[in-house]
Amino acid sequence: MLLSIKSWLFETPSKDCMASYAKSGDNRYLEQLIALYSNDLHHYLVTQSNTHLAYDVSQQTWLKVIEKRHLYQAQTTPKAWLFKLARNTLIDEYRKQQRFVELDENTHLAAQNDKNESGLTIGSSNISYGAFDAALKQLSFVQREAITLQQEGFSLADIELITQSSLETIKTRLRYAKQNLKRLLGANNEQA
Amino acid sequence: MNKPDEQFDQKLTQHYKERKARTTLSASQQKALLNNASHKKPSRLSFTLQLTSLACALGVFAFIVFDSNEGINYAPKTVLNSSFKTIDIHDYSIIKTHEINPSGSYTSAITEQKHALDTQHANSLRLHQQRHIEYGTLVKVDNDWYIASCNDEVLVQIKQSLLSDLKGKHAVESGLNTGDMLAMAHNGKGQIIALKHAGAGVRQCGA
Repeated sequence: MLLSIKSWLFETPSKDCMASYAKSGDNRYLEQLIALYSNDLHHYLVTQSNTHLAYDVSQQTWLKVIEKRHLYQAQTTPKAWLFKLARNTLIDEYRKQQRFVELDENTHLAAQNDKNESGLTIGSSNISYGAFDAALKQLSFVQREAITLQQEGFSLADIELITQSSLETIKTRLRYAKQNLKRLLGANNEQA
Repeated sequence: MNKPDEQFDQKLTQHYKERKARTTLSASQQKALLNNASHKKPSRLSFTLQLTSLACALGVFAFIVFDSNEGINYAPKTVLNSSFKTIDIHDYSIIKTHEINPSGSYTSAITEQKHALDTQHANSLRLHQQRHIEYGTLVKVDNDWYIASCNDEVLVQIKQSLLSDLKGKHAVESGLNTGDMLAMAHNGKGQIIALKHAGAGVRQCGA
């Protein structure tokens, strides 16, 4: 009895906010989700599009979270589920704008450059921030996505879920993405 | 993994973190996201209500359409329901029934429709009444009475003997005059057993 009162008074937040939100629809969990994942999601979307579109798709994604919360299954990672929603929303948006043909390896959807702050150095590296940003944006949509998701800390299985691609395809995309980045950054360094 | 690759991955992670740090959402943007998401909730509810209303309207429409298509007879006395349509047996004059009876033999029967029987019954009754109550106009009175029957222009002559007999049995209404519409009651053998005014309902033949 005392324990139940204690747990009621000092309710410990669930580790899976998405599961709690899916179950209750309580806005407190939505707030937690936004606090936890909105930055990651926004950065992914900025990388795959541009600042303006990223914010727009971000809003749409959170609306979808509300609408489709009942579809969430607790066994999937909440972050991976959110990224999958965001990715599908972005692709839908591209298709609406007729800017997206196919998600194959050769589709080279050049991300629109926001105002680049070139010339900034990153840490002790001699590669500038602008050079890295430009190189990343020169990758194809799927290669840029693979490397971004990996850097976000997703496992290969998570990336498989988000992109709905096979494991081998994802490995290939990662390998080519790194090769291309090396090549592009090397070229930039040589130019510098 | 060899050393150059490791170094590259480290640089990549470092660059990525730096890039991410530059593209974070401000607190106000995060709040706006939450507000927008929360604000949209009622419209979702109204959308659900709209969908429900639409479904109800479609249901009513479908009911009206199917009801008018299949319910031609609005007050069927007897209906047989099948999965395809509602059958009104009044649409059929004869129903043939084929079945294996409990003893295992094949039997068939013809069931006449109830309304056909009702009509037949009504016709029979009318014929029966015509047979027993015959109407006609008293056209001449002397010793005998002459009554122009409504039935096929028959002139009925009632002899004095029968009139006397009927009057003795008080079977002739008093006050019968020439030109009156009379009702002649017959027994089962077709014999006239009473004469009286036809009544207010029958002023002339065919009325």
